[in-house]
Amino acid sequence: MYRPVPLILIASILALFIGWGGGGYLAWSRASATLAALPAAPVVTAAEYDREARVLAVTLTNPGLVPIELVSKTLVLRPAEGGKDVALLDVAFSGGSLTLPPASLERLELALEPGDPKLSVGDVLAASIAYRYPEIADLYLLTHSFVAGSEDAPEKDGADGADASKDETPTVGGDDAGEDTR
Amino acid sequence: MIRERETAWRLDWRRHLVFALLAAVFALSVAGLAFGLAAAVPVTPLPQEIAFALGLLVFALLGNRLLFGYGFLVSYLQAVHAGRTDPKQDQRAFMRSRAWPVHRAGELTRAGVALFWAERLDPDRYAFFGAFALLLLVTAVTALDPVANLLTGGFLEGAVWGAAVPVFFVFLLEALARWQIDELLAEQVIWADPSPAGERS
Repeated sequence: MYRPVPLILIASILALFIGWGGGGYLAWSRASATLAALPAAPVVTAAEYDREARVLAVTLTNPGLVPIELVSKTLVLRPAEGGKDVALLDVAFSGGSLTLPPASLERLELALEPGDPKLSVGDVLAASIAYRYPEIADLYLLTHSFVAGSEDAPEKDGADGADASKDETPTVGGDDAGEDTR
Repeated sequence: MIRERETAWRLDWRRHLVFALLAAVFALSVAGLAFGLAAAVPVTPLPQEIAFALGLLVFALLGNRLLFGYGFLVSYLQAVHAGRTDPKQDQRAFMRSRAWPVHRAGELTRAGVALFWAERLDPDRYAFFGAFALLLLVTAVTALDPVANLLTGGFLEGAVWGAAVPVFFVFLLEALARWQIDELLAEQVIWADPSPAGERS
């Protein structure tokens, strides 16, 4: 009886290689298709306030592969010492909406009106952005709380470096813009 | 003794029954697997999976002649090794080897018939492996260029992995057939006519 041992060894190695490669290819394509279909929440990576132009610039990323449609923006000012929350801006984007393409980084400028009150140290500027996904009917809300530091509001002297206490809270469906400042 | 073996092989209908049952079980399990997969996966197939299936299908069709040719050759050589060939089987092998324009029946040894048979399949094998090498080349070259890679979208890679399956089986059967022919040649050459200068003398 003959035993083609080297042939069996070579065939086993080749079969393992082909099974590994082909199975890996199929699994990878299925996994990447699944990942590409998952919607991701937009993330605020940076926010800075331009004192002269009175513009809050928010940098938004879309980490997923589903485009995000930004529907409207809201700006609420909550004074540091007492007082009521002031809604400064509540408008739709020009052209109806703004689309964050997959895996992109966009800078969004939220300008204060000339008649709006001036920022003082410790004031919280809450920027809320409503967004939705192409095939989901729900509307989601992202709220970023910007705390004005001494360099943002030089009218009053303040020693606290409040820039470090930036906070972002994506919330679903509710408007808690002025409530939670941690 | 040879006669006994031949009659034993011919009259053993139980063996055929067992093989038929095994084949039926295999066919049923394949069909069940296909239906089970079709029922378990309600999603539409991905383009990558279609590319994989197309590569497998096209190369299975292209290598059909080789798969069956080397398959029959291997089974004939197995029968020869086991010593259970009948004249009818030898005659069929002689017809399939296409040695008859050159040789008469009975002129060749079984190893000679097998050599003719293997050589007859060589052009097909060359074309088959050549097509696979071309596919591999095109895939590798397009993968080098980022733009071309984006255009082909990794589908060529799927076709290559799908094509690798029949290519593997053809390679395996061909190597097995060559191994068996070498074994048979060694057996016949060494044992039939031991050379006085050889080591075994």
